[in-house]
Amino acid sequence: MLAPSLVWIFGVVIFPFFYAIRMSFMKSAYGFGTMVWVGLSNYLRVLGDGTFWSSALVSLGWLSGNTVLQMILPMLVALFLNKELRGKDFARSLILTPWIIPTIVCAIMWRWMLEPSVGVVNNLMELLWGSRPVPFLGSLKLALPTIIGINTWKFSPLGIVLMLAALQTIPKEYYEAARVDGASGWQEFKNISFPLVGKVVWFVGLLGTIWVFNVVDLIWLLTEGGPGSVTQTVPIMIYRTAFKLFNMGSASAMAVVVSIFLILLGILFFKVFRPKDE
Amino acid sequence: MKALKTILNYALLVLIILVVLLPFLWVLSSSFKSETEIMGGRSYLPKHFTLQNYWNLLTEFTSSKNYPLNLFNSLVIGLGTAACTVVVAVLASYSLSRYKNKVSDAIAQTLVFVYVFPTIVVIIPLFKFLAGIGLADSFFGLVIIETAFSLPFCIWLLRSFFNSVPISFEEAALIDGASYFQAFIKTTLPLAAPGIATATIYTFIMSWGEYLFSSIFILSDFKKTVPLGLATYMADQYIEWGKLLAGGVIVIIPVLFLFYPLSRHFIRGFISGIKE
Repeated sequence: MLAPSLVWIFGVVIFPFFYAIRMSFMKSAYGFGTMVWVGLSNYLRVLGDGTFWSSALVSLGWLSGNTVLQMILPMLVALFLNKELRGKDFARSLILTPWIIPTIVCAIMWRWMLEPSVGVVNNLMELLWGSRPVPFLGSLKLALPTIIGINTWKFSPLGIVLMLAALQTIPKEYYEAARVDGASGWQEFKNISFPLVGKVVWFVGLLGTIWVFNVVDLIWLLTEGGPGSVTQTVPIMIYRTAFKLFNMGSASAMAVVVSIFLILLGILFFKVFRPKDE
Repeated sequence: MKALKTILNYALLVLIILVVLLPFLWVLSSSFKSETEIMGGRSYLPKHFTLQNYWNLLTEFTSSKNYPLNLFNSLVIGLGTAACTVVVAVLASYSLSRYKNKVSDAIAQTLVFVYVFPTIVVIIPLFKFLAGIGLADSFFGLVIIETAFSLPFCIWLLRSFFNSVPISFEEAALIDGASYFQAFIKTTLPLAAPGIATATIYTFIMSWGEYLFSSIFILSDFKKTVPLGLATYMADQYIEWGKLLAGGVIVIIPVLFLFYPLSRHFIRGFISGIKE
């Protein structure tokens, strides 16, 4: 009974992955025309291309900004919500809203609110301290931090809810015992909460890091990698190279480089960061 | 002191919810404003409540813009993906739940890799394959691909539901003379119904809002899904915000309507995945 799933996943995920490796050694005249073997030339071109390396730098900024925010923020909110509050279950559903809505709606919403002349954010800023309109998504300096903020708004809710679910599995007696012994809030967190929710934090970190790295739709719909190429992460560059410039060989080579990077990252997560089961 | 603390706690809770929900309320409120009020007004609530944006959006029929058709296409693809995923995931998760050994555990763990798999890596070969078998620009091709990426989550979720149904129920039914299939349909399946509902809705929601694959695999204007339709409006030189905001509200209504009642079970799927 497992067969359909295995065949399905093999056909759509695993086989194409190996085929992408093959394509990275080939070149075609018009995107999907006949492919010719060209050896390592795609790799040499990609790795010798300054744009690729500047995209890699953007990716690194995007990844680190998002990861830091999406590990710390959800932990803080989850620790706060882990109390006897009425309507907490209802609040939890509401908090998940940004995570569940389609990316396109998220993009429309934020482009509308951050619009330089009629957007509510700029209007409020003008009202409060008379600042001139700031083109958040069109500014060379602000575009990357802005999309990191929007991505954090969209994905932190999942982290909050997962960490909260983990915190709630900790028996209350632990905290009571700690309080009897005179432990401070920070000590409680360090010695009880954190070790016990470690695996969830780890999982959120793993999911978050890899997902964040691979985000294409949100960035594409917000900025298309612009202005200039300040928000062009490597996946955005792959998307553009493959489907706007129709250079499948180069795009596949980049995809393989990305996969190697992600596999190394995954190994790091599993070998180094993975909490021990006790 | 304690009362103060309680008030502070609730104030913080409200603040968190506001950060999360204010953008939605703002979009909702703006979608009921007239186009002139949207572009010039600085009002928080519509001064003249109007459904004009919704009417303009839903009655615009050009070759590249046809929102009702976009909605219909997304509905068909969403239902197709949900149906495929749930049938395949029920089969897989049931056997992973009932036959526990090293192989099935390894398979359940491997699903994590599929779940986080970078779609951008396989999208190029997939397009080539679909074109090769004549399924480029077809709903069917899109359904096949979206199903594969929905499977891991649904398998985890359903496995945790099947795990909670004791096998003795089925054994009792077998003793009463039911076949294996009957025993499964009559005893286990109904008890796992909330899980099946959640898996269906999860898949539907994911497919309903899917942008990346559709943007590559759908070529004809009349096959565009909702996200592609809205992206067309957003790519205009002069963006008609009224229509876009109305379109956004229309897309999220079914999502929220389906999601809120079952959000508890969604979390269960993730927790079950973490335990692997």
